[in-house]
Amino acid sequence: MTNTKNTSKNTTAAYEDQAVKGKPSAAEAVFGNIAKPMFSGKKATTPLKIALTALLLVVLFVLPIYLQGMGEALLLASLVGIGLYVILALGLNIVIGYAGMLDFGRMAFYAVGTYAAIILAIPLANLLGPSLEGLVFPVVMVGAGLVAAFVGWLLSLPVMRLRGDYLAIVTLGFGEIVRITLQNNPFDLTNGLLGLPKSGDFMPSPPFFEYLRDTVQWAIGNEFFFTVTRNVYWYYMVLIMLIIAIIVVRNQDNSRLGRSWAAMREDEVAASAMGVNITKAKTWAFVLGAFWGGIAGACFGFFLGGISPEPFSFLNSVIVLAIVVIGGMGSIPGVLVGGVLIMGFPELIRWFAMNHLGQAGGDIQSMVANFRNLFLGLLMVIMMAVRTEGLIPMKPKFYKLFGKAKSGKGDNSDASAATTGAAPKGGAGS
Amino acid sequence: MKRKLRFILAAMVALALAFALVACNGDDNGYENGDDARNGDTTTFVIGFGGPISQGAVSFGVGARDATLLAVEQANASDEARDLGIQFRVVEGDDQSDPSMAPQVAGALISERDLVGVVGHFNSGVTDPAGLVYNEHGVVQISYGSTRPDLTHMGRDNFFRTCATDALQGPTAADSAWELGFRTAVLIDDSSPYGEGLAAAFKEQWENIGGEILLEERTAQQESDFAPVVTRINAADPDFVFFAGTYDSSSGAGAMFARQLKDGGFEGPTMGGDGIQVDGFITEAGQQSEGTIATKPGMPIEDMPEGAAFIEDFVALTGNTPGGFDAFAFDAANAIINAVYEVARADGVDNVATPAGRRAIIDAVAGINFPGVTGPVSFDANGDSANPIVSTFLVDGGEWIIHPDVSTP
Amino acid sequence: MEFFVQLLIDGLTLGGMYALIALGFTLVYGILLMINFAHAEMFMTGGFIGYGVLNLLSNESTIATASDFFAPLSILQSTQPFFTTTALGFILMMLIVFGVAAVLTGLLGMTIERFAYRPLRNSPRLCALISALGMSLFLQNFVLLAVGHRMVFPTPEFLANLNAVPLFGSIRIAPIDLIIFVTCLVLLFTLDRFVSKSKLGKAMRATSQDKDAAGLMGININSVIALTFFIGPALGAVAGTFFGLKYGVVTFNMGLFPGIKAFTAAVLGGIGNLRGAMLGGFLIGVLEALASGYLSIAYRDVITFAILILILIFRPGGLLGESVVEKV
Repeated sequence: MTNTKNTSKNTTAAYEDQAVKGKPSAAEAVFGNIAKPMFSGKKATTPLKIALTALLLVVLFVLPIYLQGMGEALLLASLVGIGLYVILALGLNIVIGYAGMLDFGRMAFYAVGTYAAIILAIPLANLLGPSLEGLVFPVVMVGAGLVAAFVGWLLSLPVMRLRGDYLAIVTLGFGEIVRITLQNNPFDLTNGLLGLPKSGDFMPSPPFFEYLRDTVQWAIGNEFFFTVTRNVYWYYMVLIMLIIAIIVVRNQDNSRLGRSWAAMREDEVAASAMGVNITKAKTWAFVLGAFWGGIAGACFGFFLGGISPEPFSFLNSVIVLAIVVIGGMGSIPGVLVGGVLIMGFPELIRWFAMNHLGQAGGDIQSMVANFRNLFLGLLMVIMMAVRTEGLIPMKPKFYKLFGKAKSGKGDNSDASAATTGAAPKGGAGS
Repeated sequence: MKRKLRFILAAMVALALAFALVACNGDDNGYENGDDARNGDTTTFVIGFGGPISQGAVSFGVGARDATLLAVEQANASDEARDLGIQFRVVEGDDQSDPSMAPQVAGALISERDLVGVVGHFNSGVTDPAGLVYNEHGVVQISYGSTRPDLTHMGRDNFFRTCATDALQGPTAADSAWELGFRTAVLIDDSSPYGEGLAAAFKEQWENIGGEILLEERTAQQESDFAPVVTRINAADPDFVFFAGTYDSSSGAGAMFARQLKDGGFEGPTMGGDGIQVDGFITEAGQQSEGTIATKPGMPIEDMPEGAAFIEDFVALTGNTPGGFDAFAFDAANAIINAVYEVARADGVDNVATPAGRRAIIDAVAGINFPGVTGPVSFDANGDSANPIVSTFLVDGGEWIIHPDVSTP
Repeated sequence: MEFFVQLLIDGLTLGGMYALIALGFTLVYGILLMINFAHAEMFMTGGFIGYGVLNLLSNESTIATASDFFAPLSILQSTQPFFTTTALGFILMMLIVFGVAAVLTGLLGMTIERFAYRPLRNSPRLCALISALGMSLFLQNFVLLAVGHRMVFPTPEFLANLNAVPLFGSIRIAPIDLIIFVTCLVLLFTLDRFVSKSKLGKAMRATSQDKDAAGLMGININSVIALTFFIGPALGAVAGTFFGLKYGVVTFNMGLFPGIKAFTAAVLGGIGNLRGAMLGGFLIGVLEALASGYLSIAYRDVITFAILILILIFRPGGLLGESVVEKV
């Protein structure tokens, strides 16, 4: 992200001129106010909420130790998969949920990130030598994010003028173009269908992995034995990236950029008339959404230890879309729950089938994969008909014209709260 | 709003806990089962199977799964298993031909505590990342259908395969075509790793022996219309067309291609590898499949001493005749089973499913040699099959027969 | 030259199928301003229904199994040789197969409209699009679970025994291609007459111009929309059955690519414009054939998508369409 800041100063500044008075730094436009919304009075920060968040974090950090200790590699690997898709969905959420543009080709950015990371990693590892091998992954991850963001920017150039439904079809086409191009080995970069790394190349190992693997070993009795396996390592890596993504995306939503997205989503023409620079807002939505796709892609490529074009199918783009739509467009908790439900539930059934149903488990497993897609489709239809806003809807935003946004301690003279009389006390934060 | 937040967080905690709880619950059961098995007269070992069952190259996954089940069923009924007090069961992992499923599927197999080896996977793109996990945990992996040549050269000593690589099959196909009097070829691959590897291997040998390639083309996956390619082939007018790919439309489209080639008026034969040497190819391509030539690693199983019995048992178990890579999966499973016997005899049954025992199994597989369904089963230093026979087949009267005009190497 | 003409013929056959599917997209878009993403699945479902009916009429073992369930069906046993071997029987059988596939798929289309799209008529357009995408996913997996992922389409004996028709020089056209091409032309012409001349067609055009005004004039909007959702899928089903006959296989995911290409065709011709969709279908078919003939078939889809993106960006109205002004 820091690199985005450097390269984007000019454009950000230009954008700010268009928006309301007051000039936050470029970093603020991209990150939003990282510190403020979390701890100022803007959010309803109750002790209960803090306690629950802390509990959730503790559970998330302890869970892999328990799972690996008990040898449940399937559940652990599934959690890594969920994490990656949630990061992807968070990126998509910026485009769909915040900016209101439909993207059917999310896999394009995931693919670009994965391939960029691996293509960059191998020469970089040779350059740095074995002693600095650990540096490779962080560098290429940021690099992959930037490459994906750049591709997002490229895509945003021609599609600016497109209407919503046309945009969806164009992104779909773009996703397929990327996948087919990867298959056809352009400039001998992607190695076609055989995938990367090419024969004879080896993926560099990520930072501290070998050290952790060799030093951390806990055993309790005969049944519990914990070491840092690839799954454990990538679980923590993805979890950390996910937390960073949540914090950054959340604050972007609270920034000036986020407000212009909201205005644009609700009514593009009106927003434009009110001085929101639509082009800039759309470009940023694409760039930032693609960035997270690239980050997730880099983790995915290193987690798999190589890549070929098969995972970047249209169906997987639809699954990421379903996570956002079913979870709740524009709602981060919605995306989290959507991701866990859609990616996690089938894996739980698979796990159950493999562990408890013996021979019959095989048939159930194969049905799960198909039934998941069946239900996803049905859920999307039902969701649109009865609950467009998703399982956990986006919270409505209220802004005050003058002074600070309303704090949790009811200042009920606020005009926006009055118009939406139903809004309960203390919930009026953004 | 507060209530909603509380609800959301509670829901998330509940979901996270659900994972842990089910895991917890399951582990108890697994533990009890394992305990019972150890205290009883027999020990049940797990053989993992990995392949596409629900989506992807399903036609190659399901048959191989059944072949693995058959091998285990026969082993469980054998005297050897009874004398040693060993039983096997298969845990299957459905990878859907999708590399991103590999960590989950491999993870699931690894979490079986009595796992002694894995038969799988089919797609080279899945075998590779899944193999990383098996390698990390020191479990033997024998692929039955991953023909990508470099898989055995990645420094993983636990990896073996019973099928021949494309590097072997391609040259034999070229030699057979030359022997049949063909001199000019059109080379098509189906945009799969398998097709690409096979095409490259064929091309190298074909050009070495003096054959000419008039046109090279690649079809996209999930493509069904080949009319323009057929037109190009007709314009190039080769002696035959080499189609490097699989036959079915979900993973390749060999059958559709052969059908349209004949419909489009091309007179010469289509030739392919083991990806089209499947009964399904004949069913899908219909009458237009007559005269198609295909190579396949191993001897024709009908002609092998063990082959007839295998076909009979396979039909009895599944109702279908074995096709594709099923016989290789059968041999792969038996390689693991025999290695387990060997280790159990040497180190005792209790030591088989331990890290040292799994290491011993890898060594035992490396040195294994027994008559399999596809020929003698043994592995070279890299882990490739040391059974380098490739046979050439022909579609005649709606079935695959050994090509009468090609001398078996 | 002969090479070029042969490619042209390949392209026109394929284009005929695209045109049939594209009409479904364009009809719905013209009236509801909605991209019916599930239309590609109508094509697929039509193919599967065609597969079932054709088997029931021509495959002895299927007839035997069906008769066990429902005894009167055993009458098909006696008609089977007539249907499969004689020319008259073959034509009759094809009429039945296409008729049943078209009617059933049309009814399915109406059902989907009633339950998935009608509740969304006043929602934002994106909601309908997501709903359509969900419906597409649902239908694909429903067929996958209920029937299977890949079905071998039977080739009637009569058709299998026909020889390719030589035109001139080395140019020839396969009988099935000829059938597809002629049928497509007949259907397209009929639809064009229907929409421009018949009373119902006039109602459809009125509805597409202004729903509310048409309603005030006494046109039952709901039935017009339902009719649209019948005609589109019915044409798609014909294309799907042709697909099975030509390629010998129907698969649960066969709709996606022809669907996108037909959509491209509809956009190329100007979405909402019937003749535009027909023109677009044939154009895309020919372009694809030429691209794969002179360049490489590997990049054929890339070329189609690139055309789509370029048209949407530079001439969103398409070739025959009018440019649409975004209203507040």
